[in-house]
Amino acid sequence: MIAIIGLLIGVLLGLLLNINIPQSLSPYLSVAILACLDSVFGAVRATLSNNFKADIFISGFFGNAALAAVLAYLGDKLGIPIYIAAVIVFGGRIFDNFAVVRRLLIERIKSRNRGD
Amino acid sequence: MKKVTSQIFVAIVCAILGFLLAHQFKMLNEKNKDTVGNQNLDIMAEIDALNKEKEELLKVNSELLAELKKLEETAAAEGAMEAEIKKQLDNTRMQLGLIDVKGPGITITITPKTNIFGGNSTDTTRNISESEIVHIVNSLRYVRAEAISVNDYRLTPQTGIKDSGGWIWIGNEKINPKDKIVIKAIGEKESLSYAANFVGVLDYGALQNYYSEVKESDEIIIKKTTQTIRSEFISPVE
Repeated sequence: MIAIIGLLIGVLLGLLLNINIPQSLSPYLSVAILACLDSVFGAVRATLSNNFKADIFISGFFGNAALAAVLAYLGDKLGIPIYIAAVIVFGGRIFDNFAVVRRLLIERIKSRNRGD
Repeated sequence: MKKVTSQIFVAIVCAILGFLLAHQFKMLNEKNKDTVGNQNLDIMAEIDALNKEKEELLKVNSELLAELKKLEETAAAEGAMEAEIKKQLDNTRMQLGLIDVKGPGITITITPKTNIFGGNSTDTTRNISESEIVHIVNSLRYVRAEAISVNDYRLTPQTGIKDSGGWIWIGNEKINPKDKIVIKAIGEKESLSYAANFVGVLDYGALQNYYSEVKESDEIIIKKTTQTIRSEFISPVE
């Protein structure tokens, strides 16, 4: 719940505030966002599995985002699209995490209906 | 207490994610709006150019009609001169690109290489510009190409080639450097083919990012120019 509230506040701030991030950083930001989304999905999965740890989530969130952005930047400079590696890995992990989240939720609903 | 702190951190992190998402959406939307704005400017410039050209065409047309009437009167008066005048007139028209022409020559097809693994789709350094087209045309003219067209736009002695607004303008017509470009030339096909395949012609500059194909043909048709030939300032020396 607190995560959703935080997300909504962030969206509102993003829409209302005019903070200038240079347009040249836009491609790196997109890859970083993907890495952040991966961390969030991982966090949801961990919460449902009852092994969520805030420090791991936060370090993963910033660490993955920074690594993805750096990889994209490095690839741009070297002339090889390394960012594709980040897109494939994080994209794949998002789907994996979503699959686990889906299963856990369905199991939970089923067990609730059974009256466990 | 520890749980509350971790929840606050989670909220902050999610807020950062939300902010980044919203900011990126906003930024991309603004970029799209800018692109649409530029396209509108391009269209307005094109309409202006077309209106101007229409006026010129009307003027030239009336002048040509008057000239034709005069020539017909001369031909009627001196019957023997008729054939010669007609021949000269046709020849001049052919050279100026005012009529459709045909003959042996070559067709050069330039197709952009697909950029599946290219890092940046907005990279414009990969695209050809005026200099590559001018280079090819110059190479063909050097081996005496008698008529040249780029994407079916006939080059006349008064046709300029220039980059503007992401397009390559061939006189008043524009071509997209990201699309297939076809250059036709009429002349001695062996010489033209040799010139086109010469080292440094079809691999000049950004042409290295394009596939090039040179095809010889016995009959190439080049359509007349849509540009008007002006002689507003020139006059023969007495």
